[in-house]
Amino acid sequence: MKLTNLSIKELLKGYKNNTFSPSEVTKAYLKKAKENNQKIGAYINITEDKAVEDSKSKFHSFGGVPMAIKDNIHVANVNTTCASKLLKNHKAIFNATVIKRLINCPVLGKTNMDEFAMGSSNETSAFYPVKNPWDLKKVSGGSSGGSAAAVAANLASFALGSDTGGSIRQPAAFCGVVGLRPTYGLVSRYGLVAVAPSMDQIGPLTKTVEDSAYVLSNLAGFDEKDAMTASPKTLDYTKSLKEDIKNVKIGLPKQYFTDYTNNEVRQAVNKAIRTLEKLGAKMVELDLSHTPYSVSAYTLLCAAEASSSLARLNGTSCKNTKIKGDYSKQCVNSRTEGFGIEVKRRILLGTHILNSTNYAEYYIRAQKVRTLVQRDFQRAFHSCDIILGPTTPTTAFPLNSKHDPLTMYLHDSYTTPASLAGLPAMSIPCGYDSNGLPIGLQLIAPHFKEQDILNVGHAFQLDTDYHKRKITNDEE
Amino acid sequence: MKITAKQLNEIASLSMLNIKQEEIDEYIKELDQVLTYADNLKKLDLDDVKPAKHCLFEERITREDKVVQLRSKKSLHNDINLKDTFIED
Repeated sequence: MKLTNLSIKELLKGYKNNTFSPSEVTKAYLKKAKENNQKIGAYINITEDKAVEDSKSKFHSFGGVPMAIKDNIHVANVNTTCASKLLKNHKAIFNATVIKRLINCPVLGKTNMDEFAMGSSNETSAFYPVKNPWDLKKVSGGSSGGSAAAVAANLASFALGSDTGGSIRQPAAFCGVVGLRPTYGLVSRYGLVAVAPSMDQIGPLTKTVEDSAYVLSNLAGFDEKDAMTASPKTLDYTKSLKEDIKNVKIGLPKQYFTDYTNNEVRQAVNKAIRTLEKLGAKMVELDLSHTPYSVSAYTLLCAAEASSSLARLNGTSCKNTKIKGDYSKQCVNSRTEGFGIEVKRRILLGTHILNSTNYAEYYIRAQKVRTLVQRDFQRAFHSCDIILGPTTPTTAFPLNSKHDPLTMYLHDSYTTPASLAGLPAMSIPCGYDSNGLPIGLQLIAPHFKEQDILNVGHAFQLDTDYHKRKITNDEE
Repeated sequence: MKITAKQLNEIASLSMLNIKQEEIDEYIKELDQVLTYADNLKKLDLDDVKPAKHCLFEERITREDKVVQLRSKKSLHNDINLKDTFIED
């Protein structure tokens, strides 16, 4: 039995029956992570001693499941680098709320990411890019590329990522795993290094939809340390997981099925639609007319918020300041040396549009468009229960192939609308292209209706085996 | 051009960043490209649209902020120190 191939459900069952122990499973994952990390680059830091120690602790219902954590989420006494030179020596002094809630799960390590979660290919990491486990010449997607690759290559049982404009869903689609962005406010952001606080959300990347339900059940809920957290009614998503999706109304926005989407992606999504119809779901045509404006609005708002969020980082507390001088000079030098090009680009863009001369023309206009995107969804959910479409317009693209930022931003065309509206959205594998690269199917639900997308995703996975396909060179 | 070298240097200064001379053209080109693309938002009629404040649809339900006449006798009937509609200290 390959311990690293097992789902969370299978691991918990094995622990209960004493078939194997958390220590054995953790060691198996550590061995595999150490052997494969140089090839894939999924981890920035493998925390072997901590993982072994964590696996010895006693746990109750949900625990002993080895996890990987995106390197912008604080784990006490472990470095939080955000894949940036600026924070390469920054040690976290407290656990993020999500880590506290999963305190019985051994932390295998901190996963690679786009620097400060800015990017869609995981090539902006200051350390090394993450390679797609399905094809090492392709990107993993981003910004949670390390988390997605770690789960896809069985280097972690599950991983946590963060999603601002698609940073969980897009790499999940590229790497053939399940990536869930929860409703804004369902999961505490306390201990997450902020990029765009009005959109950031922590969520799980897992092997199956059912695993996603397990992790989300443990993450969700009010946290007094994050004023934006709500207290939803259902918190055990596994108990409420249904296989029956008869008469569920699924909306198909015409804007998600244009020629902009690669033909093979469209074919796979259409096949998934037929599968769901066979299972009893009803399809409804939708018009989300402001979808084409989402990327512009998102880019402006994200840059504005990022420039503000990162203003606090001056290098003085990061132990990597080389140049001595007066305080402000030191700040400028630290930031100039410490930030990568994409981060600087977004800071400059954000500062520019928040300038009093440009504020109304760019920032306020983008916020107004955000209102329109939200209204689109509000209207749409009067006629359907969930919305379906491709997660990305293409499958994973080659490393170093996209040189201008706009082309990269446009890759998030289908993920940014849900982010602007704060909606829960999930990417699940729904096929493979002719090169064997995974294709992602995106499901979007109304606020706090995670259960609905989990049910549809679970029913889909019970009827298909896209999530079971193994990477060819995946050897124990 | 949406942005000039002078503006870029001002923004960099506000952002606490140094931009090398040889980087200026590249930054201008890239920012210009993004800002030009963002011009597609100008196609929309946004005059009557309010900017989003929050990404959840639910608004906090609050009553209209206006002065109302207290139905004083009813609301204060347990208070023994009444003088007209005021409470005597």
